[in-house]
Amino acid sequence: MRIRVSKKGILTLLLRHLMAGLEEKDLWENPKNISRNLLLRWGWRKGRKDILIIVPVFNEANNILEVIDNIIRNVSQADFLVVDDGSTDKTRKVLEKHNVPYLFHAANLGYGAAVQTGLKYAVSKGYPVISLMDGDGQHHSKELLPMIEKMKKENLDLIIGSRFMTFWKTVYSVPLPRKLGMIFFSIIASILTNTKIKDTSSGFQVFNLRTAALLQKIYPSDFPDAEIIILLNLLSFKTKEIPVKMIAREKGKSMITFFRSLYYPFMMFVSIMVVLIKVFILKHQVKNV
Amino acid sequence: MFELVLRSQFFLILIIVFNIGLIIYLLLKEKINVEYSLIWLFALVFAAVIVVSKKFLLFLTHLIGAKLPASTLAYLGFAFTFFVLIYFSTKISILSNKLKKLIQHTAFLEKKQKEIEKKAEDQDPSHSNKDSL
Repeated sequence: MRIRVSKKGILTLLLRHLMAGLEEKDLWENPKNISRNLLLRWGWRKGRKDILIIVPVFNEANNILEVIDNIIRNVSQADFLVVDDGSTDKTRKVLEKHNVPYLFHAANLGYGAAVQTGLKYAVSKGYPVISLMDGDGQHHSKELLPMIEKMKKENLDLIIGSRFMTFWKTVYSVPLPRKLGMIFFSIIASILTNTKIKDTSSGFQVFNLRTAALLQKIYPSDFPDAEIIILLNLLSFKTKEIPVKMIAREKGKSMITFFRSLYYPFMMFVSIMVVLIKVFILKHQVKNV
Repeated sequence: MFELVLRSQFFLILIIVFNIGLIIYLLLKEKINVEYSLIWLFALVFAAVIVVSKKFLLFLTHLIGAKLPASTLAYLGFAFTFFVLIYFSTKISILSNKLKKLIQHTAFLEKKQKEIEKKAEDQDPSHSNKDSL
Protein backbone atom coordinates (compact mmCIF):
# COMPACT_ATOMS: atom_id res chain seq x y z
CA MET A 1 0.00 0.00 0.00
CA ARG A 2 1.39 3.39 -0.94
CA ILE A 3 0.68 6.26 1.38
CA ARG A 4 1.65 9.85 0.70
CA VAL A 5 3.92 11.17 3.42
CA SER A 6 4.75 14.84 3.78
CA LYS A 7 8.36 16.08 3.73
CA LYS A 8 8.06 16.94 7.41
CA GLY A 9 6.83 13.42 8.12
CA ILE A 10 9.77 11.91 6.25
CA LEU A 11 12.22 14.05 8.21
CA THR A 12 10.60 13.06 11.49
CA LEU A 13 10.83 9.36 10.66
CA LEU A 14 14.39 9.67 9.38
CA LEU A 15 15.50 11.38 12.54
CA ARG A 16 13.74 8.81 14.66
CA HIS A 17 15.40 6.02 12.71
CA LEU A 18 18.85 7.57 13.05
CA MET A 19 18.42 8.26 16.71
CA ALA A 20 16.95 4.86 17.49
CA GLY A 21 18.47 3.30 20.56
CA LEU A 22 18.92 6.52 22.45
CA GLU A 23 17.93 6.23 26.08
CA GLU A 24 15.57 9.17 25.92
CA LYS A 25 13.37 7.52 23.28
CA ASP A 26 10.29 9.45 24.25
CA LEU A 27 12.03 12.68 23.35
CA TRP A 28 12.14 11.92 19.69
CA GLU A 29 8.45 12.07 18.95
CA ASN A 30 8.78 15.51 17.51
CA PRO A 31 12.27 16.52 16.36
CA LYS A 32 11.35 20.18 16.67
CA ASN A 33 11.04 19.75 20.40
CA ILE A 34 14.31 17.89 20.86
CA SER A 35 16.28 20.85 22.19
CA ARG A 36 13.51 21.99 24.50
CA ASN A 37 12.82 18.50 25.75
CA LEU A 38 16.48 17.76 26.36
CA LEU A 39 16.82 20.93 28.37
CA LEU A 40 13.76 20.13 30.42
CA ARG A 41 14.89 16.56 30.94
CA TRP A 42 18.40 17.27 32.07
CA GLY A 43 17.62 20.63 33.58
CA TRP A 44 19.80 23.66 33.99
CA ARG A 45 22.60 23.29 36.46
CA LYS A 46 23.43 26.26 38.58
CA GLY A 47 26.53 28.05 37.41
CA ARG A 48 26.72 26.13 34.16
CA LYS A 49 27.19 28.23 31.06
CA ASP A 50 25.22 28.07 27.81
CA ILE A 51 28.11 27.27 25.51
CA LEU A 52 30.51 24.35 25.58
CA ILE A 53 33.68 24.48 23.54
CA ILE A 54 35.05 21.03 22.76
CA VAL A 55 38.76 20.91 22.01
CA PRO A 56 39.91 17.50 20.73
CA VAL A 57 43.66 17.08 21.11
CA PHE A 58 46.37 14.54 20.44
CA ASN A 59 49.93 15.30 21.54
CA GLU A 60 49.39 19.05 21.84
CA ALA A 61 51.32 19.75 25.05
CA ASN A 62 52.99 22.75 23.41
CA ASN A 63 49.83 24.38 22.09
CA ILE A 64 46.95 23.51 24.39
CA LEU A 65 47.56 26.11 27.13
CA GLU A 66 47.67 28.92 24.61
CA VAL A 67 44.41 27.71 23.09
CA ILE A 68 42.75 27.53 26.51
CA ASP A 69 44.10 30.97 27.47
CA ASN A 70 42.60 32.42 24.28
CA ILE A 71 39.25 30.80 24.97
CA ILE A 72 39.16 32.13 28.54
CA ARG A 73 40.14 35.60 27.34
CA ASN A 74 37.80 35.81 24.35
CA VAL A 75 34.80 33.64 25.21
CA SER A 76 34.41 33.98 28.97
CA GLN A 77 30.74 33.02 28.72
CA ALA A 78 31.65 29.51 27.58
CA ASP A 79 32.62 26.33 29.36
CA PHE A 80 35.31 24.29 27.67
CA LEU A 81 36.29 20.66 27.61
CA VAL A 82 39.49 19.21 26.24
CA VAL A 83 39.22 15.66 24.91
CA ASP A 84 42.67 14.13 25.04
CA ASP A 85 42.69 11.34 22.49
CA GLY A 86 45.29 9.20 24.22
CA SER A 87 48.22 11.60 23.94
CA THR A 88 51.65 10.10 24.46
CA ASP A 89 53.37 13.39 25.24
CA LYS A 90 52.83 15.58 28.32
CA THR A 91 49.40 16.87 27.27
CA ARG A 92 47.58 15.12 30.10
CA LYS A 93 50.07 16.32 32.71
CA VAL A 94 49.73 19.89 31.43
CA LEU A 95 45.93 19.70 31.61
CA GLU A 96 46.08 18.18 35.08
CA LYS A 97 48.56 20.74 36.35
CA HIS A 98 46.49 23.70 35.17
CA ASN A 99 43.15 22.27 36.27
CA VAL A 100 41.76 22.23 32.75
CA PRO A 101 38.56 20.16 32.50
CA TYR A 102 39.30 17.19 30.29
CA LEU A 103 38.30 13.71 29.26
CA PHE A 104 41.07 11.23 28.56
CA HIS A 105 40.93 8.38 26.07
CA ALA A 106 43.02 5.47 27.32
CA ALA A 107 43.99 4.75 23.70
CA ASN A 108 44.16 6.83 20.55
CA LEU A 109 40.83 6.45 18.71
CA GLY A 110 41.00 9.18 16.10
CA TYR A 111 39.78 12.76 15.69
CA GLY A 112 36.14 11.79 15.08
CA ALA A 113 35.95 9.63 18.19
CA ALA A 114 37.39 12.45 20.30
CA VAL A 115 34.74 14.82 18.93
CA GLN A 116 32.06 12.21 19.56
CA THR A 117 33.16 11.87 23.20
CA GLY A 118 32.90 15.64 23.57
CA LEU A 119 29.46 15.65 21.94
CA LYS A 120 28.25 12.87 24.23
CA TYR A 121 29.39 14.90 27.21
CA ALA A 122 27.75 18.06 25.88
CA VAL A 123 24.45 16.31 25.20
CA SER A 124 24.47 14.59 28.59
CA LYS A 125 24.89 17.99 30.24
CA GLY A 126 22.33 19.64 27.98
CA TYR A 127 24.43 22.49 26.61
CA PRO A 128 22.27 24.40 24.07
CA VAL A 129 25.27 25.57 22.02
CA ILE A 130 28.28 23.39 21.33
CA SER A 131 31.39 24.45 19.51
CA LEU A 132 34.35 22.56 18.10
CA MET A 133 37.82 24.04 18.04
CA ASP A 134 41.13 22.47 17.15
CA GLY A 135 43.72 22.18 19.88
CA ASP A 136 46.63 23.28 17.69
CA GLY A 137 45.93 27.01 17.78
CA GLN A 138 44.71 27.26 14.18
CA HIS A 139 41.36 28.72 15.17
CA HIS A 140 40.82 32.16 16.65
CA SER A 141 38.42 31.98 19.56
CA LYS A 142 37.51 35.62 18.80
CA GLU A 143 35.60 34.38 15.77
CA LEU A 144 33.39 32.14 17.87
CA LEU A 145 30.94 34.69 19.24
CA PRO A 146 29.96 36.10 15.81
CA MET A 147 29.43 32.48 14.68
CA ILE A 148 27.17 31.73 17.66
CA GLU A 149 25.27 35.00 17.18
CA LYS A 150 24.68 34.20 13.52
CA MET A 151 23.54 30.70 14.37
CA LYS A 152 21.01 31.98 16.88
CA LYS A 153 19.86 34.84 14.66
CA GLU A 154 19.27 32.66 11.60
CA ASN A 155 18.09 29.66 13.60
CA LEU A 156 20.79 27.42 12.11
CA ASP A 157 21.63 23.88 13.18
CA LEU A 158 25.28 23.97 12.18
CA ILE A 159 27.60 26.78 11.31
CA ILE A 160 31.02 26.12 9.79
CA GLY A 161 33.96 28.46 10.01
CA SER A 162 35.31 28.39 6.47
CA ARG A 163 38.94 29.01 5.56
CA PHE A 164 38.30 29.48 1.90
CA MET A 165 35.49 31.99 1.69
CA THR A 166 38.06 34.73 2.06
CA PHE A 167 40.81 32.85 0.37
CA TRP A 168 42.79 35.93 -0.54
CA LYS A 169 42.91 37.01 3.11
CA THR A 170 43.73 33.69 4.69
CA VAL A 171 47.24 32.95 5.82
CA TYR A 172 46.40 29.28 6.01
CA SER A 173 48.57 27.34 3.63
CA VAL A 174 47.57 23.89 2.44
CA PRO A 175 49.78 21.53 0.42
CA LEU A 176 48.61 21.32 -3.20
CA PRO A 177 47.41 17.66 -3.20
CA ARG A 178 45.35 18.30 -0.07
CA LYS A 179 44.00 21.53 -1.51
CA LEU A 180 42.90 19.69 -4.65
CA GLY A 181 41.18 17.07 -2.51
CA MET A 182 39.40 19.78 -0.52
CA ILE A 183 38.19 21.47 -3.71
CA PHE A 184 37.01 18.15 -5.13
CA PHE A 185 34.98 17.26 -2.05
CA SER A 186 33.57 20.76 -1.68
CA ILE A 187 32.29 20.48 -5.28
CA ILE A 188 30.80 17.04 -4.57
CA ALA A 189 29.18 18.27 -1.34
CA SER A 190 27.84 21.40 -3.06
CA ILE A 191 26.28 19.37 -5.88
CA LEU A 192 24.75 16.77 -3.59
CA THR A 193 23.31 19.24 -1.12
CA ASN A 194 22.49 22.03 -3.57
CA THR A 195 24.25 24.44 -1.22
CA LYS A 196 27.57 26.21 -1.65
CA ILE A 197 30.07 24.50 0.63
CA LYS A 198 33.67 25.64 0.30
CA ASP A 199 35.36 24.09 3.30
CA THR A 200 34.26 20.55 4.05
CA SER A 201 37.12 19.74 6.40
CA SER A 202 36.95 22.66 8.79
CA GLY A 203 37.13 21.63 12.42
CA PHE A 204 35.79 25.03 13.50
CA GLN A 205 32.07 24.40 13.89
CA VAL A 206 29.15 25.36 16.10
CA PHE A 207 26.11 23.10 16.60
CA ASN A 208 22.88 23.40 18.47
CA LEU A 209 21.81 20.68 20.87
CA ARG A 210 19.51 19.05 18.32
CA THR A 211 22.39 18.55 15.87
CA ALA A 212 24.75 17.39 18.62
CA ALA A 213 22.16 14.85 19.82
CA LEU A 214 22.14 13.31 16.35
CA LEU A 215 25.90 13.53 15.73
CA GLN A 216 26.90 11.99 19.07
CA LYS A 217 25.22 8.82 17.79
CA ILE A 218 26.56 8.67 14.25
CA TYR A 219 29.87 10.55 14.25
CA PRO A 220 32.54 8.53 12.42
CA SER A 221 35.83 7.81 14.18
CA ASP A 222 38.24 8.88 11.50
CA PHE A 223 37.97 12.22 9.72
CA PRO A 224 34.31 13.17 9.55
CA ASP A 225 34.12 15.96 7.04
CA ALA A 226 32.04 16.12 3.89
CA GLU A 227 29.87 13.14 4.74
CA ILE A 228 28.49 14.75 7.91
CA ILE A 229 27.73 18.03 6.13
CA ILE A 230 26.04 16.12 3.29
CA LEU A 231 24.02 13.98 5.72
CA LEU A 232 22.83 16.98 7.73
CA ASN A 233 21.84 18.84 4.58
CA LEU A 234 19.98 15.85 3.18
CA LEU A 235 18.10 15.58 6.47
CA SER A 236 17.08 19.24 6.09
CA PHE A 237 19.25 20.54 8.92
CA LYS A 238 20.05 24.20 8.34
CA THR A 239 23.77 24.62 7.78
CA LYS A 240 25.81 27.63 6.76
CA GLU A 241 29.41 28.63 6.28
CA ILE A 242 30.90 31.91 7.39
CA PRO A 243 34.39 33.15 6.62
CA VAL A 244 36.96 32.88 9.39
CA LYS A 245 40.67 33.44 9.54
CA MET A 246 42.85 30.48 10.36
CA ILE A 247 46.57 30.21 10.78
CA ALA A 248 48.79 27.21 10.18
CA ARG A 249 50.05 25.45 13.29
CA GLU A 250 53.40 26.64 14.63
CA LYS A 251 54.27 23.81 17.00
CA GLY A 252 53.57 20.08 17.03
CA LYS A 253 52.49 17.63 14.37
CA SER A 254 49.28 17.51 12.34
CA MET A 255 46.90 14.57 12.93
CA ILE A 256 46.87 14.01 9.17
CA THR A 257 49.93 11.94 8.39
CA PHE A 258 51.28 11.32 4.88
CA PHE A 259 49.86 7.80 4.83
CA ARG A 260 46.44 9.02 5.92
CA SER A 261 46.41 11.74 3.29
CA LEU A 262 46.91 9.03 0.66
CA TYR A 263 43.90 6.93 1.55
CA TYR A 264 41.76 9.78 2.88
CA PRO A 265 40.13 10.73 -0.48
CA PHE A 266 39.10 7.12 -1.11
CA MET A 267 37.75 6.75 2.40
CA MET A 268 35.79 9.97 2.08
CA PHE A 269 34.40 8.88 -1.27
CA VAL A 270 33.15 5.57 0.15
CA SER A 271 31.71 7.34 3.21
CA ILE A 272 29.76 9.76 1.00
CA MET A 273 28.43 6.85 -1.06
CA VAL A 274 27.30 5.07 2.10
CA VAL A 275 25.56 8.22 3.37
CA LEU A 276 23.74 8.64 0.05
CA ILE A 277 22.63 5.00 -0.07
CA LYS A 278 21.49 5.14 3.58
CA VAL A 279 19.44 8.28 3.02
CA PHE A 280 18.02 6.87 -0.24
CA ILE A 281 16.97 3.60 1.43
CA LEU A 282 15.50 5.41 4.41
CA LYS A 283 13.51 7.77 2.21
CA HIS A 284 12.33 4.85 0.06
CA GLN A 285 11.28 2.86 3.13
CA VAL A 286 9.39 5.79 4.54
CA LYS A 287 7.60 6.42 1.23
CA ASN A 288 6.50 2.79 0.99
CA VAL A 289 5.14 2.39 4.52
CA MET B 1 42.94 -36.53 -16.81
CA PHE B 2 43.20 -36.13 -13.08
CA GLU B 3 44.59 -38.60 -10.61
CA LEU B 4 45.68 -37.81 -7.09
CA VAL B 5 48.59 -40.03 -6.17
CA LEU B 6 47.87 -42.13 -3.10
CA ARG B 7 50.92 -40.75 -1.32
CA SER B 8 49.82 -37.20 -2.01
CA GLN B 9 46.32 -38.06 -0.75
CA PHE B 10 47.85 -39.49 2.39
CA PHE B 11 49.91 -36.35 3.07
CA LEU B 12 46.97 -34.04 2.42
CA ILE B 13 44.81 -36.05 4.82
CA LEU B 14 47.64 -35.91 7.34
CA ILE B 15 47.79 -32.11 7.08
CA ILE B 16 44.01 -31.86 7.43
CA VAL B 17 43.98 -34.15 10.48
CA PHE B 18 46.84 -32.19 12.03
CA ASN B 19 44.95 -28.92 11.52
CA ILE B 20 41.73 -30.35 12.93
CA GLY B 21 43.74 -31.52 15.93
CA LEU B 22 45.28 -28.05 16.28
CA ILE B 23 41.86 -26.38 16.22
CA ILE B 24 40.56 -28.81 18.86
CA TYR B 25 43.67 -28.19 20.98
CA LEU B 26 43.16 -24.42 20.73
CA LEU B 27 39.51 -24.88 21.68
CA LEU B 28 40.47 -26.92 24.74
CA LYS B 29 43.04 -24.28 25.74
CA GLU B 30 40.37 -21.59 25.14
CA LYS B 31 42.65 -19.79 22.72
CA ILE B 32 40.02 -19.77 19.99
CA ASN B 33 36.26 -19.23 20.23
CA VAL B 34 33.87 -21.93 19.05
CA GLU B 35 32.43 -19.41 16.57
CA TYR B 36 35.77 -18.91 14.82
CA SER B 37 36.86 -22.53 15.07
CA LEU B 38 33.74 -23.56 13.13
CA ILE B 39 34.91 -21.76 10.00
CA TRP B 40 38.19 -23.66 10.03
CA LEU B 41 36.61 -26.99 10.91
CA PHE B 42 34.07 -26.68 8.07
CA ALA B 43 36.83 -25.70 5.66
CA LEU B 44 39.02 -28.63 6.71
CA VAL B 45 36.18 -31.15 6.48
CA PHE B 46 35.33 -29.79 3.03
CA ALA B 47 38.98 -30.11 1.99
CA ALA B 48 39.02 -33.71 3.29
CA VAL B 49 35.94 -34.55 1.21
CA ILE B 50 37.61 -33.14 -1.91
CA VAL B 51 40.83 -35.06 -1.27
CA VAL B 52 39.05 -38.35 -0.62
CA SER B 53 36.32 -38.13 -3.25
CA LYS B 54 37.66 -37.68 -6.77
CA LYS B 55 34.11 -37.74 -8.15
CA PHE B 56 33.07 -34.81 -5.99
CA LEU B 57 36.00 -32.71 -7.22
CA LEU B 58 35.21 -33.56 -10.83
CA PHE B 59 31.57 -32.70 -10.22
CA LEU B 60 32.59 -29.30 -8.83
CA THR B 61 34.94 -28.75 -11.79
CA HIS B 62 32.10 -29.46 -14.18
CA LEU B 63 29.73 -27.26 -12.15
CA ILE B 64 31.89 -24.14 -12.28
CA GLY B 65 32.94 -24.78 -15.87
CA ALA B 66 36.67 -25.13 -15.20
CA LYS B 67 38.88 -27.23 -17.42
CA LEU B 68 41.13 -28.69 -14.74
CA PRO B 69 40.37 -29.79 -11.18
CA ALA B 70 43.41 -27.73 -10.13
CA SER B 71 41.57 -24.58 -11.30
CA THR B 72 38.60 -25.59 -9.13
CA LEU B 73 40.90 -25.85 -6.13
CA ALA B 74 42.34 -22.41 -6.91
CA TYR B 75 38.83 -20.92 -7.23
CA LEU B 76 37.75 -22.46 -3.94
CA GLY B 77 40.94 -21.24 -2.29
CA PHE B 78 40.33 -17.67 -3.49
CA ALA B 79 36.68 -17.77 -2.46
CA PHE B 80 37.53 -19.05 0.99
CA THR B 81 40.33 -16.49 1.50
CA PHE B 82 37.99 -13.70 0.41
CA PHE B 83 35.25 -14.89 2.74
CA VAL B 84 37.60 -15.20 5.70
CA LEU B 85 39.09 -11.74 5.10
CA ILE B 86 35.68 -10.08 4.91
CA TYR B 87 34.47 -12.02 7.93
CA PHE B 88 37.43 -10.94 10.04
CA SER B 89 37.27 -7.36 8.77
CA THR B 90 33.71 -7.25 10.04
CA LYS B 91 34.75 -8.71 13.36
CA ILE B 92 37.60 -6.19 13.71
CA SER B 93 35.24 -3.32 12.89
CA ILE B 94 32.75 -4.51 15.50
CA LEU B 95 35.53 -4.87 18.06
CA SER B 96 36.86 -1.40 17.21
CA ASN B 97 33.42 0.09 17.82
CA LYS B 98 33.11 -1.76 21.10
CA LEU B 99 36.58 -0.59 22.13
CA LYS B 100 35.68 2.98 21.23
CA LYS B 101 32.57 2.85 23.40
CA LEU B 102 34.54 1.32 26.25
CA ILE B 103 37.28 3.95 26.09
CA GLN B 104 34.71 6.75 25.91
CA HIS B 105 32.87 5.27 28.86
CA THR B 106 36.11 4.98 30.84
CA ALA B 107 36.88 8.61 30.07
CA PHE B 108 33.51 9.66 31.49
CA LEU B 109 33.95 7.49 34.58
CA GLU B 110 37.42 8.89 35.19
CA LYS B 111 36.10 12.45 35.02
CA LYS B 112 33.24 11.58 37.35
CA GLN B 113 35.64 9.97 39.80
CA LYS B 114 37.84 13.05 39.81
CA GLU B 115 34.86 15.29 40.39
CA ILE B 116 33.76 13.15 43.35
CA GLU B 117 37.30 13.14 44.77
CA LYS B 118 37.52 16.91 44.38
CA LYS B 119 34.18 17.37 46.08
CA ALA B 120 35.25 15.15 48.96
CA GLU B 121 38.54 17.02 49.20
CA ASP B 122 36.75 20.38 49.29
CA GLN B 123 34.48 19.15 52.05
CA ASP B 124 37.25 17.57 54.10
CA PRO B 125 40.74 18.71 53.03
CA SER B 126 42.45 16.51 55.67
CA HIS B 127 41.41 13.37 53.75
CA SER B 128 42.85 14.44 50.42
CA ASN B 129 44.63 11.75 48.46
CA LYS B 130 46.58 13.23 45.61
CA ASP B 131 48.21 9.94 44.70
CA SER B 132 44.97 8.31 43.63
CA LEU B 133 44.15 8.19 39.92
